[in-house]
Amino acid sequence: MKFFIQLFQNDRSWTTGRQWHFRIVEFVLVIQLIYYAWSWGYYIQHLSAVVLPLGLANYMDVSVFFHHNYSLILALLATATALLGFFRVYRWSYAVTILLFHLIYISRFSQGEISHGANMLGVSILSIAIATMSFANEKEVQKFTWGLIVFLVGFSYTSAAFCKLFGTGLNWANGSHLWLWMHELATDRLSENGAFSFNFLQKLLFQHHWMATTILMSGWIVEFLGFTFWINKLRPYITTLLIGMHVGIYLSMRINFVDNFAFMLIMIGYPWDHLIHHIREKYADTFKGLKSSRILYPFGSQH
Amino acid sequence: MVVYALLVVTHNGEFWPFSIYPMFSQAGQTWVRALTRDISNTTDSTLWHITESEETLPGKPFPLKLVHTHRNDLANYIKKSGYWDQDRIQGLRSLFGKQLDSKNLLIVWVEGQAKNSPDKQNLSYDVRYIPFAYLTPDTSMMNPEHNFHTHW
Repeated sequence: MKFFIQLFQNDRSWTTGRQWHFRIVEFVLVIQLIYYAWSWGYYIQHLSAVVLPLGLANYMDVSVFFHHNYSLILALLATATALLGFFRVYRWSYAVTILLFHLIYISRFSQGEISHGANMLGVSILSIAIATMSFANEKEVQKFTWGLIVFLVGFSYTSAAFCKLFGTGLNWANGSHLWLWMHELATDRLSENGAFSFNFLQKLLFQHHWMATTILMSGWIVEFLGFTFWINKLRPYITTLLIGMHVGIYLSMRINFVDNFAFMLIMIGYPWDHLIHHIREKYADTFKGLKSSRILYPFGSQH
Repeated sequence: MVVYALLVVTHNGEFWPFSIYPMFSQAGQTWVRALTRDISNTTDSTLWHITESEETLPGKPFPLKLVHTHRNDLANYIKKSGYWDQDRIQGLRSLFGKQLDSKNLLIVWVEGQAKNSPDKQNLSYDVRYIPFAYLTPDTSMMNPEHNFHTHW
C-alpha cells in the first residue's frame, strides 16, 4: 500500500512546481504526438500493401488510409483532439487522440517493421486519457497520470530484461551476439545511405570479445533495475543509468533511442519541480501578479 | 495491467502502445535485411549470383534515402511477405517511387547467420547477399533460382 501511496504522490502535496513540471511534460508529449502524426501521415501516402497487421489492423483494412490523404485527415483530427485535451476543453479528447494515433501507427507500421520508438509517448498519452476521463479534479488527474507513467516505464524496462532471459537464457550477454547485431545494423545503414563504416567503439568491440560481453551485461543489468524507477529517491539515479544505456546502444549499434526514449526519461526522471520552485522563489518579484493558473490552464478549467 | 496483458497476449505481444518489448530477446538468431543496387549501367549476366561480400554485388549502391523509404520497411517487406502476387510486387515497386521510371534496381536479401568459430569459444557469423528481385521501368522479376525462407 505504501508503495502505491508514494507512486501516486499521495504522501506529498502537489505543489505549483509539480504542476508546472507536469504541464511542461504534457506540452512536450503533445508536440511529439503532433510531429509523429504528421510525419507518419505523409509517409503512409506512399504505401500500397499491408504486410503485417498490428493491433486493430487485425480487424480492419488499414490500406484505406494509404490513399486520398486519409492519413493526413487522421493526423489533423489527432492534432485537434490533442490540443482540446491539452487545454482541458473536453475530458474525452485524449481518448479519441490515442485511438486516432493508434490508427496512424498501425497504418505506418503495416510494412513488417514493429517500431517501439513511440511507445513511451503512447503510454503517456494513454495515461492522461484514462486520468482525464476518470477524475474531474486536475490535481488528481496529474497525480494519477504521473504515477501510471512512472509505473509503466519501470515495468517496461524490467520486463524487457526478463524477455531476454526467457528468450535466450543467461548466454544472452555473450559478446558474439553483439557482433551479429552490429553487422545487421551496419547493413541497415548501408541500405539507407549507400555507404557505412564502423566507428571507433565498434571496431574496439569487434577486437575484444570481453568488452562486447561487458557492454551487453551492463545494459542487461541496468534494464533489469528499471523497476527502481518506481521509487522517488532512486529515480534520478536509475534515469541516469538508463540514459547511459541508450547512449551505449546508440554508439555500439547505432540505434537511435536517444531522441525519444532518452529525452522522455530526462523529462520525467529528474525532480525538475525543485528547479522550477527555486526559479519561482528567486524571481518572485518578476512573477509578481502573474498567476500560474492563468498560464497553466488558460481556459480556466482547473478545479 | 489486466487490459495490457490481455491485449498483448492475444495479439502476438504487440498492441500499440502496449508491447512485451521482445527487442533483441532472442540473441544469436539468423537475421534478414535488404540492400538495393542500381544496375542500370551493368551488363552482368550473373544477375542471381549469391555472394559473401557486398562489394562483389553488381552495380552500385542505391541509397534508400533518395526515395524517402525507411530501410526497415524494405527489409521487412521482403522478409515477411509470405507470397508475391501482383499487389505485393506493386507494393515493392511503390517503395522506390519515380526512381523506377529510369533505373534498373536489384533488391538483395542479406542474411546473417551465427556459426561456431574454429576455437569453439565464440560465435562467428556468415553474411550472404542473395539477389531477391530485379525491377526495371517495365519489368518485375523475382529470383527464380533461390527458395527464400519467408513467413518469419
